[in-house]
Amino acid sequence: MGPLLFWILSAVAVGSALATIVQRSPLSSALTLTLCLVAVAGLFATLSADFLFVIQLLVYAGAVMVLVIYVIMLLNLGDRELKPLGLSRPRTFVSGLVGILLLALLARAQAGAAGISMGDVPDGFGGVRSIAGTLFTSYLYPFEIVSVLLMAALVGVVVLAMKRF
Amino acid sequence: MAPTEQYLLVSAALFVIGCVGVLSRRNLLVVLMSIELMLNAANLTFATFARASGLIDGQIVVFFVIAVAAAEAAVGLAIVVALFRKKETVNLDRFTMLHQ
Repeated sequence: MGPLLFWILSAVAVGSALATIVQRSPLSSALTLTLCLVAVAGLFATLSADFLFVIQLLVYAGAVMVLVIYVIMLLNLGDRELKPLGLSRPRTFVSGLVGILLLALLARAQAGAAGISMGDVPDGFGGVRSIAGTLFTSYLYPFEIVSVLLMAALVGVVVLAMKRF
Repeated sequence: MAPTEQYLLVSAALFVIGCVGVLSRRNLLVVLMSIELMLNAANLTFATFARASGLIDGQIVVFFVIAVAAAEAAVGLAIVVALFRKKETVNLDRFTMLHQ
């Protein structure tokens, strides 16, 4: 069950990520990206990261993607914006080349992780209790700074939306 | 339990797909979504090593990355809306105001 679940989730994640960048319409891209984020949430669950699984579904696949789809619908792009991808352009060729080189580099880098096996973890690893125990002791200041950052982002977005450029 | 390097390979594939999306696409919204893809690939790597080392700290980093990515998405989309109101387009090649 374990390896099979991993391969299904990985295939869905990589396939929907590919679909995200090759589709013409941004709305289709957003929907396939949501599928990819849900698959990554499933991968978090197989890594016994229960809290991250819930957060990924709520914040990423929920809030952030709703915001993206809302903006896509608000902009209401016409046919002029949705012209064909034009895969023969030199830019696509160069970015594909960069992608292959980067993949080769990353694959070579993680050959060094081949010996690391996943041992047993204590019961409750990655649950709310273990996350909160570390987050509110060792990482208390980063946590407070992130709350200030979110507040600043909120104010900045309101200012950006009000201003006439 | 799938071994560590298989998770890392999936993460590398997601990162490269996001990178190619940023480089090849000209639609500002799709570029933003590709950046989200790359952030997710990095999150998957952090969660993998947190599981492999048995330390919870990697998962805390993922938590912070998700919080910062939410702020980034909100500000980025507000900039997209502001740019669209000015230029009536989301094509990156049309945003050349700084070198004119």
